[in-house]
Amino acid sequence: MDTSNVSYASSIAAAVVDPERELSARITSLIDRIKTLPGGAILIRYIQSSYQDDPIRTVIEIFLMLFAVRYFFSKKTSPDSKEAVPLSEKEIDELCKQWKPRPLAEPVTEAELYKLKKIPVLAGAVDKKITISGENYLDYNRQFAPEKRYDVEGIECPEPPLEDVLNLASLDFLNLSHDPRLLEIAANIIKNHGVGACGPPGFFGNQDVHIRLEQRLAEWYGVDSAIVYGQDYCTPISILPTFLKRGDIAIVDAGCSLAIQKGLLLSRCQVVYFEHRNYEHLANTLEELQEELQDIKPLNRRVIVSEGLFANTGDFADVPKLVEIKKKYKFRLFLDESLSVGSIGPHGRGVADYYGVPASDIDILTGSLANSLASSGGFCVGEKPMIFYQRIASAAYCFSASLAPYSVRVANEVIDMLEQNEGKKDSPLGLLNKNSALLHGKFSKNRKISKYLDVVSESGSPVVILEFNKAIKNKLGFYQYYYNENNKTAQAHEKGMRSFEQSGTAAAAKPSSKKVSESKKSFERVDYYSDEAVAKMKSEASQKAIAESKKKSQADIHNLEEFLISKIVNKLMLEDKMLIGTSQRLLKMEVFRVRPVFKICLSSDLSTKEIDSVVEKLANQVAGVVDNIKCLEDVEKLNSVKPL
Amino acid sequence: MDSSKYTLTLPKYIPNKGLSQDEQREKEFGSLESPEFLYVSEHEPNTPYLVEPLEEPSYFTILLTHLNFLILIIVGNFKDFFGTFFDKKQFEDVIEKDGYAPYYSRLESFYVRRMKRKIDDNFSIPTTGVPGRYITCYDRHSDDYNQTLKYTGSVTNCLNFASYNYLGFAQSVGICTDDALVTLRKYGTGAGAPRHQGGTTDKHAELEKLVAKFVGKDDSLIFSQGFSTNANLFDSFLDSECLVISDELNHSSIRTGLRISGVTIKRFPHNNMAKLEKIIRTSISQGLPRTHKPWKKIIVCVEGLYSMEGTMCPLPQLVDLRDKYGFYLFVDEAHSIGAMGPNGRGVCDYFNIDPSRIDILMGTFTKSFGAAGGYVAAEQHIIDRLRLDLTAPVYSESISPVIVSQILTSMKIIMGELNPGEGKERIQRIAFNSRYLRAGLKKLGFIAFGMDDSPVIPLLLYVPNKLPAVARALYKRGIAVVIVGYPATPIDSSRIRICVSAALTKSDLDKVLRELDFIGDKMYFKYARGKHNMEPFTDKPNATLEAFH
Ligand SMILES: Cc1ncc(COP(=O)(O)O)c(C=O)c1O
Repeated sequence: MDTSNVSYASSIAAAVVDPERELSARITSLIDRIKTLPGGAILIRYIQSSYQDDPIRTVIEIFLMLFAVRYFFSKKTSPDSKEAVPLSEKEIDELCKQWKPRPLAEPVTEAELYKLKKIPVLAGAVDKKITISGENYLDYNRQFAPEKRYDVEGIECPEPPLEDVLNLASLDFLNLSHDPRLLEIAANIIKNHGVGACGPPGFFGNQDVHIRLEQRLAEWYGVDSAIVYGQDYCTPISILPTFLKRGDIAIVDAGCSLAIQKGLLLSRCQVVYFEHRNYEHLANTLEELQEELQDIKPLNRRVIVSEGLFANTGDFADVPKLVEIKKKYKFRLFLDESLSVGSIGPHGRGVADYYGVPASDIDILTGSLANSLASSGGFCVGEKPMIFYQRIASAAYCFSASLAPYSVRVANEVIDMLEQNEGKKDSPLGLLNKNSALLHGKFSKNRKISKYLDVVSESGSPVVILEFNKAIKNKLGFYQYYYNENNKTAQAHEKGMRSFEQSGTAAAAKPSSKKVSESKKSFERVDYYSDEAVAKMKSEASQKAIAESKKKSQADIHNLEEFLISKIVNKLMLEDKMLIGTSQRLLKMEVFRVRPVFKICLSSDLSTKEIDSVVEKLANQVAGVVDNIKCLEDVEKLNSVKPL
Repeated sequence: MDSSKYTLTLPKYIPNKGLSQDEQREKEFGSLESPEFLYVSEHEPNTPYLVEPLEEPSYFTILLTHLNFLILIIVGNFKDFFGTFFDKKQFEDVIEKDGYAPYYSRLESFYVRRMKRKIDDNFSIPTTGVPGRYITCYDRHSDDYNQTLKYTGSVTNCLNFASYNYLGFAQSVGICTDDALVTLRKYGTGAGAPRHQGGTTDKHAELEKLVAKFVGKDDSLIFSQGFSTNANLFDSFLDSECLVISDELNHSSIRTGLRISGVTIKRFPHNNMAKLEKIIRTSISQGLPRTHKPWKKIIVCVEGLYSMEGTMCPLPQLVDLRDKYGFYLFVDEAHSIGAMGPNGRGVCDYFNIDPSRIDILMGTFTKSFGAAGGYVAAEQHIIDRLRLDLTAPVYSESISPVIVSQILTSMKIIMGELNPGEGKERIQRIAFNSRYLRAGLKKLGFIAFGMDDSPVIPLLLYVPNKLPAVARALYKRGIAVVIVGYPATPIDSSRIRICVSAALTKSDLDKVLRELDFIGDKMYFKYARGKHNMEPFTDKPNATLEAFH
């Protein structure tokens, strides 16, 4: 390179005739300038010498550079556009015109109609004795009403309200929502703070009452810190994906309720299930996983997920066992105590408290403020870094308004009350536990009940859960349990559970990662818009529909069993003035097995007489309805009664 | 100041102590100073909604912003890298500990530890009392760069430009509170059970009907949290063979809901109707990926008023597109319901569009009604289906009757059924305040995103280091604003967000303009280069911007 001494001026003159020379001159001047920069001279010398010594290297580097340029300027193609079929604007217009979406929501079928009508609407407060409105937006209970009512002019008139109904459906187990002390305190807060918090916690929605409740919760549980959420259902849904990301692993009890299932779905971590409350299965599963887990570097997050008191079945998780296992295998423990906070344990702190396990042994403990604590919202307690991270990374906390200040204050006061009443036999908590033992005892001893129903829940649970026993289910053509046939994860789970039940060994059901062979199948493009194809599709669909309508799916039978239960519940309400709950689980949402049940929610101030009458009346109603039914078709006929 | 008295626990402070009822009322909701300070906000009929071009700052500012982040990231990573070896105590939360992985990794929490910590003293400020015209904040102090924040024992009463209190219903005096107290006595502190299991009272039924009437739909459903409303909505009617085309700036709750539902999601650039149409056309014509079967349903999800941008969705164009292509339209009115339109009924009211041209209207009660919770309104057959299929009414708590009562009363005031005239005044005050303040800020030379009528005013600071400085300066002068930076906004557009409220008076707005004028000069964030001399109103001689030239 001997051009280095060509001056800038002469290169301009030369440029007129020789563009090549001009270029080299420009480069030279550029090099000159770089040389004036600090370190520039060294750089230039290095480049010059290395290119002189190694022409092949120059070729490779130019090639690499070209490749980089090509890469940067190439159009980013998504897998979508690769498969796209080239179409002209006119064709697109045509296709757009032809496209007809399905209806946004499928209409409610006749078989499901009872569900809309059975939702009880209370005229007035939710309390121990309630009034059920006869006139409401859903014409609820019309279907089972004895007869239509007409006034003197023959105009149909609404049902009169049903008064003085005993409420056995409320989750306010300690019956505190009308406590004068709480009402006074709530009123004071409303007079000082107004009703809403008007902002997310980060943006001036973090009020003194919130900070105090968080401190109080942490103190009550004996852990570092706590966090309060605006809704109980959203709490696990938001916390699980905060700490479980792709690559992490969760081992989950297959009896967990929907909030946990949704949280895991969002988290996209690997999920392994173990049979409901089968801790041997859990230990075996963990043992099997050990090999796989050993080589993961850096360590991934590993969590065992369970509920304290299972909302769907009313039985207790064996927390000491869980803690022992999680410590052995170095997993963390996520425990949802939504139903058990305030209703179980000597201090009312839930199932862990019941077993005497300190809350510090449970890594992530969540609960609800809306049930026993007579307020609203959810919470989580645990170690400082865990709570700290939720404040910025947990969506339902970060992007949602704080809980209303009066609700927060009420929860705080209930905790004080629980602490003051500790150990007293006649405290609301003591009475609730007594009632639970009493009712469970009565149900299991009652011969009439056991002819029809099994008690699912354990003594001590504030919700008594009953289901049809095997004999009745077989007689009426119900399944022992139902699962979501249309959901891949649910199918995989069901398959795993079946093989586990058959072999009795620990075969963990893993969610199927899409089969490779399936996804690689090549597809011929079918012209779905040609008249022929549309007609063919239509006829196929209608044939399928006919075949389908003859075959009853799990969902249909599930619906019928739920219908039968709600019919009994309705009769109990209309004739015996008792409102009890039902399972109402949404089969199409659930991953785990679903069983329709009766739910009797206890409260602390039920008298022995009332408990006796619950057992007797329920037994009579169940017998009265079930004895008249011989098979599935009878249930179907009952449900197809046109609304009056 | 004697720093030894600073405490880690919240000191006792009783709000409103020694204030008379009238003083308290004035503190929560300032009286109207002149009937001139009212305005009806409405979209001019027959003019297309202009998606305003965003003003760009100079290249120098952009360069500075990126440089700022670069230094932050380099220094932060450097400190992290060596810290995890040499100062394990400091970093114990992000490294493995006796066989357990940390709750959050170093990388995941980089932003929280390295950037957010610097502004933590302006974040999550504890408050007390009503978040009305003024908000009472506990003063805090840190000796260790925001690792720990201690309470000094004093409070500051700030003019409230931070809370979502659009119509000023955050009050502790007035009929809303009276009704809430009556309801509390009668209905108790909570509803005690899920909606479908005895947690539905006549109050709930009444509110569902009233909301439907208010937004102009057949029926509605109400929930106890706005976030959960969105998060648990879509899984009931969408699956992977449905397509959702979602605005890129949609709220986290919508994105959560869409992810739970497993639906196919495509995104379009914020408010870009041409891109949206293109996506719709290719989606319909190409169908599902691989199989090319037609999509079962296509839904376009937008928000009425974007809470970080101050922009509105271009509804007229959207409904035209909907009519043309037949997709379904979902509009989240969390911020626009109550706050926009001549009757406070949200985007439909503002653009004068029939609500039947939107399929699902969703909104929250947190922002304009001084309450909490959310709703979904639609045609009867859709609501019937949702009532059965949504998970929240079965698995979650019911919304508390006291909150229902607050919403009922405030909504009736807005509709003019209670205290006739009061609702109108509130709506027209927020419209006036929003327009006046925005015009003032623009005239002073600030860059403010969004529409003229929007009560959300994002004031761009760009350079992240200015965030804490501006927030502290404003707090010292008794003004509370929200500061937002990455990741809530794009990395190069840190901003302060001003939420206008009907509770504020014109003198309050003048005060904030004056203070911002001063701070803006001192801290160099009057970035606008074009001239903004537009008077907000042509016919209000007492509401001109002459004072601020
Ligand atoms: C658009 C949007 N949707 C939903 C929500 C959530 O509402 P809430 O605060 O009542 O949970 C918000 C709140 O910030 C929002 O901006």
